[in-house]
Amino acid sequence: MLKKVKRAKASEIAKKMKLKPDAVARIAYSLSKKGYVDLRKIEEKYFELTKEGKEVLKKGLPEKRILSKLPLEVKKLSEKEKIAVSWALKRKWAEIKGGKIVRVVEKPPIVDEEIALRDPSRAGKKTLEILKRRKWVREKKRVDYEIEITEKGEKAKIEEEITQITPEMLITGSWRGKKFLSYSPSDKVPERYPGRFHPLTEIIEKVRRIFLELGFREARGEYIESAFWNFDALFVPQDHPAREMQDTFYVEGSAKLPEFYKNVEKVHKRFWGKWTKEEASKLLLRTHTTAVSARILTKLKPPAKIFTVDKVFRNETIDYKHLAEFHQVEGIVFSKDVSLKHLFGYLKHFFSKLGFEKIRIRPSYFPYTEPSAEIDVWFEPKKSWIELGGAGIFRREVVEPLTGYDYPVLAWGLGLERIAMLYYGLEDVRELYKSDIEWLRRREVFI
Amino acid sequence: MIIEVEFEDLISLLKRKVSLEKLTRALDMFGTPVDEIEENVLRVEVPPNRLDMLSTEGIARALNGFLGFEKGLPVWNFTSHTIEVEVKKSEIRPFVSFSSVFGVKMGENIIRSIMQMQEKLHLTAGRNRRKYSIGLYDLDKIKPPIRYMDLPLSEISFVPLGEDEEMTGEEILEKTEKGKEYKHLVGEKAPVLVDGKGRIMSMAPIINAEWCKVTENTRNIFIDSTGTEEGTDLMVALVATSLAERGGKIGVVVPGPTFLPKPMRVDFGKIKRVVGVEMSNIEIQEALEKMRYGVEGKKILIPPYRADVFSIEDIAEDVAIAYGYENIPFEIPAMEGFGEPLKEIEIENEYRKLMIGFGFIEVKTFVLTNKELLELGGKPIISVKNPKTKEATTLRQSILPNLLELLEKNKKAEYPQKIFEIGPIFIPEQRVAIAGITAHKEACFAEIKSIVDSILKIMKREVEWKKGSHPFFMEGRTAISRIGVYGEVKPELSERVGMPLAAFELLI
Repeated sequence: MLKKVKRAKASEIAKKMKLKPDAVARIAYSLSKKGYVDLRKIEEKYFELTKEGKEVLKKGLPEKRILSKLPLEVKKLSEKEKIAVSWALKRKWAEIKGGKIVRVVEKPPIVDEEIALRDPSRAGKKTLEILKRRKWVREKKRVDYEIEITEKGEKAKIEEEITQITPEMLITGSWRGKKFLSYSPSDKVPERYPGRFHPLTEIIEKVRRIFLELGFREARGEYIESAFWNFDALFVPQDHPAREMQDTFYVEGSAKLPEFYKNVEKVHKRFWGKWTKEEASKLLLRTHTTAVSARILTKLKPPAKIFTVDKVFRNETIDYKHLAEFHQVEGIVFSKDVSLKHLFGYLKHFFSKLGFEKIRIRPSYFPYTEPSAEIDVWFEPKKSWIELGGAGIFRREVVEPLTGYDYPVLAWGLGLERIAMLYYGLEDVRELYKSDIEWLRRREVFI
Repeated sequence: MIIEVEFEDLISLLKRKVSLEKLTRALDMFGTPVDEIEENVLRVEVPPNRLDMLSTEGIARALNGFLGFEKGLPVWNFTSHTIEVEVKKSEIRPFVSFSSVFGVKMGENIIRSIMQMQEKLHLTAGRNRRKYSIGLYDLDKIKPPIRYMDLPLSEISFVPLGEDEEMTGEEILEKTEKGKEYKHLVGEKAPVLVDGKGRIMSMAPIINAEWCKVTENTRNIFIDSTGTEEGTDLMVALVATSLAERGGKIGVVVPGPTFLPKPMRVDFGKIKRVVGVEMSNIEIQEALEKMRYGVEGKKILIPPYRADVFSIEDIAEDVAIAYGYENIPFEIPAMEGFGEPLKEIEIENEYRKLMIGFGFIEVKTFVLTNKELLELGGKPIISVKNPKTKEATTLRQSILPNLLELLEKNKKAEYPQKIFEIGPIFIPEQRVAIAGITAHKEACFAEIKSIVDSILKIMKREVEWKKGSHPFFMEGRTAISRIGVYGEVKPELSERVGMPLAAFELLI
C-alpha cells in the first residue's frame, strides 16, 4: 500500500487494512528498524460529538424544530426556546411581529452545521467554531504515526504479509503461499499476571509435604480454646505471667472440661499448690498450637507422629517483628524409643528441606518440656543467627495425665512467618498481610 | 527475664581468664543467651527456671562449672555465729525465712548485682511481691533479737528508705511510691521486722527503713523473705549463696534455709535414654559435676539454690547441656506409620486451585478485625475482652469486609484486580469460608455467577440460589443460599474503591 501512496498515517492504514492501529504501529516500528520506512510520531487533533451534539444530529437543529411550534409570544419563551428563536431570527427563518414570533420560510435550507455534525473532521474552521460554541463538539487529541516509505523500502520486494492468521484462512487454505509478517521478541507487549497462591500458602504446602513424607498425620484444632488445653494440660501454673490479660486474648464464656481434668488438677496441686476449675474453664484465643497437641495426645496410642500448621494469637502491639496473629508449625512424636537426638534430627531435616542448611540448637526453657531447646537458623545475608522456634520433650507431668503412658513425646512449635520472612527476604513481617497486589503478582518463586 | 551483667565483674569471678567471645558462646550454649552487648555490659536472658542465675555471682558459679574450672557442689564458708529471731504468726504473710552473711566487702558492683537479683526475684518467682518479697539489712546497725509480727498500720512508724522524715504505716501507703504500688498486699495490719531496741527495720512487702539500709560500707548482711506461700527459704538461699560467692560466710538462721543439698537417686540409664547418646557412667558423672551437682555413686546431690529439679528429665537436660547440645547427633528414628493429610485441608486446596485457574490472586488478611469493618458483614458476635489495639477487637464473621479494605489500599495497582481468600469465619462457631472479589470496569453479576456456578459444579455441590438481600450487596443483584452469597457489591461500598465490584462468599 505504501508503495502506492508513499506516505500515510498509521490510523488510515489500519482502517483500510482492517487492522488494529497499534498492530500497524508495531509493524511500522519493525519495518523502520530495517530501514524500509521512516516513522514519525504525531499528535493529532480531532473532534468528537458531545451528548448534545449527538441529540442534534438525531433530532435536527433546535432552530428548525422550533419553527413548527410558531407562532409564540416573546414573553412566554423558555430559556431553551429563546436560544432556538434567536438562531431562527438570525437565519431569517422567522420574524417578530407585534410581540409574537412568526415563521417566514416554508422550508428552511440545509445549513453547514448540519453537514459538519455528520463528519466534524471535514468541517470548515468557521463552522467548527460555531459547533464548539454551541457545545455540540469537543476537541480531542490522539497519537498517530506518519509512515513514509524510504528508498530502500521502495526497492524491497514486498509481498502482502499476513499478521493475524484467522480460522477462515485455515479452513479455506488461503494462507498457502502467503508470507507471514515476522515478529520480534523486542516487540512491546502488555504485562500479564497469573492467578497465584499467597506466599504463606506456598510455604505451608512445603511444610505439609515435608511432614507427610516423614509419615506424620495432619491435625487441626479451633482458634477459641479453653485455658485448660492451652495452659493447664501443659503444666503451666495458674499464676504464670503468660496467662495474664496483657499476653493472652480472652473471650466471653466458659468451657466444659473433659472428664479426666482431675488428673491434671492433681499434678498442679502437687507441684504448684493451687488450682481452680474456674481459671481452667476460661475461654481464650489459643496462644500456641501446642494446645492442639495436648488435645490430640489424649486420643493417641504410641507410636504416633502428628503435625499441624495453623494460627495462634498473642495480645501484642503490632510492629515490624510482631503480629497479634501468626502461624506455628507444630509437631509431636510419641514413642517409647525416641530421645533428644531424634528431636534434633527431625528439626535438622525440616530446616534443611526448606533450604536452611546451617542450624544451631541451644538449651532453653518452656514449662511443658524438659529438656527444652531453641532453634536458630544461620541467615547468610545478615550474617547472623535467627531464632525460629522452640522444641523439647514433653514433661512426664504433661504426658502422664493426658495419656496414661510414661513415654517421651518430642514436640516443636516453629514460627512460620519468621521462616517466610527469611524465605522472601522481607524486613517487616506485616508485609505478608499488607497484601500489596503488585507484589503478590510479580514476586519471584523460591525454589 | 533479661539481666545486666558487667563483663569485668563477671570475669573477676571466673577462676580462669576467658575471652568475651568464648564467654558469649558459653552463655548461649548454656541456655542463658546473650541478648545484647553494650559497652561493658552483657544483657543476658535468664529462663524462669534458673532463678539462681539472676545475679552476676550465680552466672559465674554456673560458668565455672560449665567451662570446667570447678566441679561438683559449690563450697561456701559458714560461721557458727547466729542471729536470734522470734516469729509471731502473721495473718498477712505467714511464711518467713532468714539468713545472714558475714564479711562481704560490699562494692558498688556487688550492690548492683544483688539489688538486681532482688528486683528480678520480686517480679518473677515473687509474682510482683505478692507471693514472695525479699529484704536486705546492714546487720551491724541492728541489735538482735529480731522479731517478726503483724502490727496495725497506725502503730507502725519509721523513716522509709529514700525519705527523710518519719511516717506512719498509713502515710507510707499513701505518700511513698512503693506504698502506693503495693498497698493492696497489706490490710489494716502489716507484717514488720523489729530489732532488739524496738526499731522497725521494714514493713513487708512494701519498704525497708532508711536507718539499717545496706551501703558500700556494709560488711555483714541480714536477709529476710516473707510470703504468702511456701518457698521463702529458697528466696533467702538465692541471695545468701550469691553473697557467699563473693567470699562471705553464711550464718544460718532459724527459721531459714539450711543450705544442705537435696539428695536424689538417679538412673543413669534413663539419662542416656533421654539424651539418646551412648555415654559412660564416668562421662555422666562428669557432666553432672559440670552442672554443679554432687555425685555419690547412684545418688546425686542437688545444690540448695536449684528449685527447678523435680524429676530425672530435669537432670537429663542438665547432662545434655554439659555434654553440649551441639555435640548431640542428628538422627531420624525408624518408625512405622504413613503420612496422612487432613481431608478438610485437601478440599480447601481444591478450591484454591480453581480460583488460581480463574486468574485470582490469593490474599491473607487477619481473623481479628474491628467492629466497624465487621458491621459490613452483619453484627459483631465474638469480641475479645482485652484488646491492645483498636484494629484487633473482634473475630470476623465474613471475609468480604477484609477484601474490600484490601482493594481500597491497592487502588494504584493495575486493573482488573481479582482476589480471594480462604480462611475461618466465626458465625459464631468456627467455619472455613472462601470469598472472592473482582474489581474492573465490567465487573458484574453475570461474571461472578458464572464463577460461583462453575466452582460449585466442579466441587460436586448442589445449591439452590434465590434472590435476596445482604448488607454487602446491591439490592436486586444479590443471590443467597444456605451456604453463602454472591452478586454485585453495593455502590455505597464499591465507591470506596472507585471500581465496580462483584463478589462471593461460600462456606466450604
